[in-house]
Amino acid sequence: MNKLGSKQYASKNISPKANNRSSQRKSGRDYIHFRVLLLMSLKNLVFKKLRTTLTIVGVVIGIGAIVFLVSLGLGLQKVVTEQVIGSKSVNTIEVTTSKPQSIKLNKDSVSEFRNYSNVTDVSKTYSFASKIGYKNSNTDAIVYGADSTFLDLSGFRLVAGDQVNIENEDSIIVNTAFLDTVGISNPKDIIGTKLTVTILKDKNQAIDFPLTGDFMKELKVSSVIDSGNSNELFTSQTTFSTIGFRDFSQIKVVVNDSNNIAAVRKQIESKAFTTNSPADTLQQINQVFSILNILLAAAGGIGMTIAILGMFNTLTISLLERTKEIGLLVSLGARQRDIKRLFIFEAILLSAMGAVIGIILAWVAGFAVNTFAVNLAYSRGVKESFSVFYLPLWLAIYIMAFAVIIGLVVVAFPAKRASRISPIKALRRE
Amino acid sequence: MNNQKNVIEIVDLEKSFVLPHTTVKAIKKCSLSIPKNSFTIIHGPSGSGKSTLLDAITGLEEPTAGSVIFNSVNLYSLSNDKRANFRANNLGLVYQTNYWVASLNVLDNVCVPLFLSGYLPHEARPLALEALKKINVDHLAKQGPDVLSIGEQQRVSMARALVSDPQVIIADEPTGSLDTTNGDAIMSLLLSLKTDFNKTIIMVTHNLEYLPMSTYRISVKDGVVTEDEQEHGLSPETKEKLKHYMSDDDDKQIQDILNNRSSNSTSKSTSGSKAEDKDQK
Repeated sequence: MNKLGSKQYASKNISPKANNRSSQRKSGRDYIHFRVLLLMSLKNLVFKKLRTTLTIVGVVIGIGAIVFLVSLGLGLQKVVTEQVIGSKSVNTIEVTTSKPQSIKLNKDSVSEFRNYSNVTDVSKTYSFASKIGYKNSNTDAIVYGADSTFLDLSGFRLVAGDQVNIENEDSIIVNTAFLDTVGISNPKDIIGTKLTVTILKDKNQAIDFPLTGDFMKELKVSSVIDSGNSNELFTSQTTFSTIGFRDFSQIKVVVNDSNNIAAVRKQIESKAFTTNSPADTLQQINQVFSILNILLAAAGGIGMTIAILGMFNTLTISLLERTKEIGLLVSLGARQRDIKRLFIFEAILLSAMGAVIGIILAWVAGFAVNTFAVNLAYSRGVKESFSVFYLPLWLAIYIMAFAVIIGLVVVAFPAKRASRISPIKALRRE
Repeated sequence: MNNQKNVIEIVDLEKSFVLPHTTVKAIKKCSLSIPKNSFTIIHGPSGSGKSTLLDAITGLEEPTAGSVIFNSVNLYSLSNDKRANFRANNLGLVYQTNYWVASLNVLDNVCVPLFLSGYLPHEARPLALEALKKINVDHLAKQGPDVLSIGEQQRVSMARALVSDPQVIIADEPTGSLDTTNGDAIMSLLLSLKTDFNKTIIMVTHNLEYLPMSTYRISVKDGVVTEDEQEHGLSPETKEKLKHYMSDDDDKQIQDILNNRSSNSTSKSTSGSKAEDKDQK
């Protein structure tokens, strides 16, 4: 039928080879590839540079404000938590007795607690009100007969001396508060000094006192720790247990997971003991700060609201401008969902780019403000470095997810409208 | 491939629009068959229903009754998505006014029909460049579509229409916005698509001047669709244009057509027989 195909063509435009390819081309895919849609969205954003930039700046400000304020809240929370809880293990329960005469904390209680499920360790201490003799004068202090687990759990900071070692019966550990009381400014000066520890026999003492008279022993200071504001000294509990002290003043129960604390406490309290846990304090701190953080996020949310309106405006204008373009795409064979996706990709690109830049800028701003604050504090005499900004990875991830969700919500309406554009109406001749 | 004689069968097609107080019958019941490899012209005055008929054929406007069968596939029995896919694969569209994806350059705009049928950019771009070369506008590939002249736009849109190698090219008043030079260039391109690439051309026009180019004609008037009395093969004027199109000196072809128009077919070429080979049996 077509003899022309074999004839010589004069026209240089037309390739005779084309005649042989009469079947339609196949890409192996049925519909537009999402990478192409992504490319088209990106090109459209680049095409409208100024508008895109302004919209992204809006999102940057909104997201940046939220991240900045929330990481300030989290930073403060962290500082406060560190001050209050310190490096104490949160998964511990401190067990004491309010009726030492009838309800006693002793070896039996220790082995009982050890058998509770989810309990990983149990540590016990004696504590006595005592007088410490140093250079011909006596100082009131509390002497602990502790074990190494107790010290580990308490997380005291070593100030001077060797590694904290409680096993030596002849040595004693003093705290910085005690040094202040006795008037020693350099903690190293007291290392090796002998102290006379006197524990007075007292009927009101919670401990079952096995001695007829006072307990008195001379002990050598091995190290200095920072344990708080009251005078505290720590020595090996073997000193007391060998003499015959049976009742402990406190037992610390270590639980494998903070979620199991409540259950173990309930078990212990059922035996009429009194319990206390750093988790309580932590919970209170967290409660206060969760409210503060919500308030801070809400303050940042004002900026975000404006950013959302800006995004909505941009997408709607883009929709109105491109009515004919969308009509063309539909008439050439785009599906409704392709048009929808085109807008969704644009919105997500806007919000995600804004969020990434916003998070980075918030981090930089937080770092700058913190550096300023640390320097200011240093000039006022605070030698310790601190960080009032805390931007954890999870916050960055949450914010990214939040931004993408915001993008999806904002684009829902324009995308739906775009997908309903009738190509006949859009491309109608005037 | 399909050996059917007709590429499109329109069976008992009717389209009416329901307006608040009245119902307008845009197309009254009609049946048509558009032959494969034909140059079909749908003509009629403005507002006669030509575009509605075309919209029904392209699968954009569901008819009130009847069916449009394209290569044995009933278009309106397909889902919307399938119909969109069908358009991307089987139809090349050229409009009177050209619309572009403003953010894409000419090359990527020509890629769009390929994109819509699932091609990735690196697969589509060589084919698009090939299509631009066929129309001799490959030098515009990196331009933005908005800087092109209307004539260039119309040529690029021809490249876009044929990039996916569709069986049918649909041209809705393709010369409506063009001067005669550019209009004739587009017409000769359409003719070459029919003759050299075995395409079926369906063109809507109200310009009766182009009627002689057609091999099949449909007239629409007040919603009444009728097949014109068909001549056998191409009219003498068409042969003349084809002959010029395939003359040896193709750089002059457009000028030749213009001369031909102004001198009212006085010049005769010796190679007129080539065109006759393309006549319908």
